[in-house]
Amino acid sequence: MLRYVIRRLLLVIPTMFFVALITFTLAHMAPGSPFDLNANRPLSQATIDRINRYYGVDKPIPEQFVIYMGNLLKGDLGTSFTRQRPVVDIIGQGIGTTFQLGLGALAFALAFSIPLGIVSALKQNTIVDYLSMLVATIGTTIPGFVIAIFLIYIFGVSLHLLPFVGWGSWQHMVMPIFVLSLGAGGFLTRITRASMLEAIRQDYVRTARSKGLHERAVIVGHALKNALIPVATIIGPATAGLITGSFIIETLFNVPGMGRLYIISIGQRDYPVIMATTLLYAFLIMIANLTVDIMYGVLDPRIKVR
Amino acid sequence: MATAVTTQDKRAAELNVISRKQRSLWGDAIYRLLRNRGALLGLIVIAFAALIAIFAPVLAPYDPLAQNGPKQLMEPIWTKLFGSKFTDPAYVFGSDELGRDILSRLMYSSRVSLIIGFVPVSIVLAIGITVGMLAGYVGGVVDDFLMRVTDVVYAFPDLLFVIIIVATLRGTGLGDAFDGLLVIFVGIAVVNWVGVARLVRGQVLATKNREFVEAARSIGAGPGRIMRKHVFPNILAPVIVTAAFAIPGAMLTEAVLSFLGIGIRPPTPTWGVMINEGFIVFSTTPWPVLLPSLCISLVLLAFTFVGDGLRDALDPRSKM
Amino acid sequence: MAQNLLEVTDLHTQFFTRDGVVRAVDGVTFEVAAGETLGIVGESGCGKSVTALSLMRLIPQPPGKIVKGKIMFDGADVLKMDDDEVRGIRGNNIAMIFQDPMTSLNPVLTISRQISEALELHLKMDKSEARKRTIELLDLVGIPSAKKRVDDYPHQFSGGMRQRVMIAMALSCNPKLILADEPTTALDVTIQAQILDLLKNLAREFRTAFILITHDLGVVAGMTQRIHVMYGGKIVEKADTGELFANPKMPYTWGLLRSIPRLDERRKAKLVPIEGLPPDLIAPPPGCRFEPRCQYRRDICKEKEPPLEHIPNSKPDHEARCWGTQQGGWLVDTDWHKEVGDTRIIEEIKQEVAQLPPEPKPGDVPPPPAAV
Repeated sequence: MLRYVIRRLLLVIPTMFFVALITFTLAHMAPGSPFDLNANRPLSQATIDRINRYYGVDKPIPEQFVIYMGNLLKGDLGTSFTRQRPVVDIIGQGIGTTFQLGLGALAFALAFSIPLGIVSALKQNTIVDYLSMLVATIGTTIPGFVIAIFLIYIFGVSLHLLPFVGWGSWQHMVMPIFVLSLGAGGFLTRITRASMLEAIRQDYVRTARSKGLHERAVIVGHALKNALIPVATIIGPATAGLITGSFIIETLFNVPGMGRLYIISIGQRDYPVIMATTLLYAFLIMIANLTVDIMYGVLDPRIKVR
Repeated sequence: MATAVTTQDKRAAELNVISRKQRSLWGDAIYRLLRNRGALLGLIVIAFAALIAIFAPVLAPYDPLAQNGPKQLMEPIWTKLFGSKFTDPAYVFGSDELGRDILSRLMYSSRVSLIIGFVPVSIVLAIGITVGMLAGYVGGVVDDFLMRVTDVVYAFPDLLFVIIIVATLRGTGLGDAFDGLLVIFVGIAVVNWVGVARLVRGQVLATKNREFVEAARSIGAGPGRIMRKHVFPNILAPVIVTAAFAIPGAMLTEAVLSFLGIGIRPPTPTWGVMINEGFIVFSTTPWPVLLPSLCISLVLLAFTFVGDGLRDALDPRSKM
Repeated sequence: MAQNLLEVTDLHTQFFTRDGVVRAVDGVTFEVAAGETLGIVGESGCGKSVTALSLMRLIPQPPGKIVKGKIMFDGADVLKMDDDEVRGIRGNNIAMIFQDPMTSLNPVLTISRQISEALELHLKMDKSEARKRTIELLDLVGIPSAKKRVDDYPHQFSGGMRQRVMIAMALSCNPKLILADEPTTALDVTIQAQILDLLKNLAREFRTAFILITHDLGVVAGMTQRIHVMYGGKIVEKADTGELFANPKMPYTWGLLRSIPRLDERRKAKLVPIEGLPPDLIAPPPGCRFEPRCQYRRDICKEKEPPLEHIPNSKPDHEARCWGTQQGGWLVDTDWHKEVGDTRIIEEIKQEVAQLPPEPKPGDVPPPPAAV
């Protein structure tokens, strides 16, 4: 097991390399330079050249890449072109907020969807089931920003109950976290329900009943443990979805997190920030997937992790 | 007097012989799909949307790009019931901030949205199935390559990748083709083909060791024939389901991109673009946002129901 | 006469489905005495498993329901008990061994946990007592190195070993009655023999009553004292084991026995299968359920259902549900060994089958009534 984890962790390195390579190439292929947009007053060509030379943007792209990777290995993420501050600082500012948002949404989704999925399965084809599935379907199908807009309209504009710009108090957090959790939550609910339905139809559940166990012991002790295994493996992709969703939510609600930063920096061609943020996201996703695979090996004794 | 059918039935019951006519595999799947009420409803909605998309030039009352200054932000006519003073019977669903008729724009939006749904997914299927089959059946270099590429692509959040590609190519010639449509195709296709290829590869691996493939090989069938006639039909089912869910996924991606401002360039209407534009005037009137949101939600829901129905219909284990 | 351990009277268990009400168990009455082994034999779908599940009230409530009958176990009516009482009996006084040990054991729990569960629940043992007893039980059923393997998972055992684990689980609380539903069907033939031997020894040693359910006549031959044959949700023959094989008195049983290859048959003798399929349990025919496939049928067989009664020329406990073999019937003196099956009737059945129109699909418009 340990060898497997180490092997997977080692695989992260080449993958990250390719991620960096692709992102770097794409970002630099974009027309326009980071400094054109800054200009309220037109800069002379000489000034532009000097700026380019200062930031090393005039060198050929492969050389830039090598320099970047070299700096990266030293732990230097570079300086933001547009904000003139070390990238590390900028990300550090936003990352806390994004984590709050992301973890909040994940926790909320888990806390609600899994029990909802279980109850739906146990009370299949009742009102509870239909309603839960309706909510889950809406959560997964209707775009997050659409729901966000509606909620903003109802709770923000009409009723003035909740703020919808910025971050800081718990009231600021309510709508963004809720909307972000819907996508992952809906997905989790459906998977949990399907998995639970299959589990309670299994023969070993009948065996457990035949031993005289109370229904609750049968469901929790026998069915649930099996049912949650596939659900645990979904948490990896669900986390990736949360990351994606955070871009939109942060932009929509003007939350000063990494997601919004990312969108802005793409528009501004702020390469160091783009690179750093992309690498960070990629790393998070890989860790999430690795965690899921490990959990799978731990939860299911049939899996022999080679 | 009982009809002949009933007595025949009873006789059959007495003799207890199964004399039902065989249903073909696909016929059976279609039959089961149509019995699913949600899927049926979904198909109707999609057909309706497709009709509107095809006949938009005929159906739409106005040119979707025609601006009309004095008639900005008219409310839809049903708001008259609530006392609105800003309605105009000429603009049934109201108008947007540039005076363009919302109904016409909604109709034309369906064209782009449906194209975005189907075209990239077709490309994805074509590439994904080919690569996946090769990787699964032939293995070797193709397989290794596929697995490595998959690892890298999976490491990206898919939207992130699409955003990078789209944002990158935006200023270029490619980016401006068809108002950014081509770029979005490319973005969606690049990210999604990997998933299909991976899925196909898995299915091929599972199928190629089954006995009927061995049997075919033993009578001299070559790999091409085996792949075409034996392996391919058996992998289709999950691929179809994946495609059914990929279509709304692609539409959603476009909507998100347009909403963020890096999708289809205005003034071309898509539902995502309309929401983006409507968001600005949201506090004045919610309708320019609500209506396209409703449209896209309905279509996405329809596809989801159809996808679910397809999955149930094609799953040999589900009892129907 | 000593009171029977189990007395089932007129049991009716039905399943309410979209296509109609399936009468899976349609009036079944039998008894089991303490310590005896009863075999229930029949083909798939005849209702034998449903009968066993009904005894422990394990029928899934929708869509199933025990609609009628009495099940007296140890003097108390199981069907009138409340849920807690029934749970007190399950695993404790009555236990069940299921057919497929791979799917019947929980893959994510150790077998130690799965066996100890019942011990802790019914016998109120604590964890260490239960563990000790579990190891004893595993030894008893022949699991080698029981102490080392007690914390293993089901997938780490072979099929035969898993079934032994299931047997250990069933035995754990010293039940008075064990229901074994096709305990060897999923196993290799050589393992089958071992498992059956084990069951026989356990029955003798612990004086446990067994109901052995199977479609395999070979299995019941060496194991049981009495055999009941089920068909179409009803019991169609009851006899002592030896008597049933020597002197069967129901055409279905004859058919079963004929379709088994025998060592002492002439080499060229053909196996004679029973043509046709089991009856539709939603709309059972008014007469004898076996009639459509029976080569001895007569008109009365189609019109009225025969009762289960003692038949002439047999031992006193021997009952059969057949007009032909009952008092005054046309099969009373037939030697079934000599009859190889009336081929005329078999041909007739085949021809009728071929002429049937295709069954209408739901949603099809029924064809117009044919001219009479």
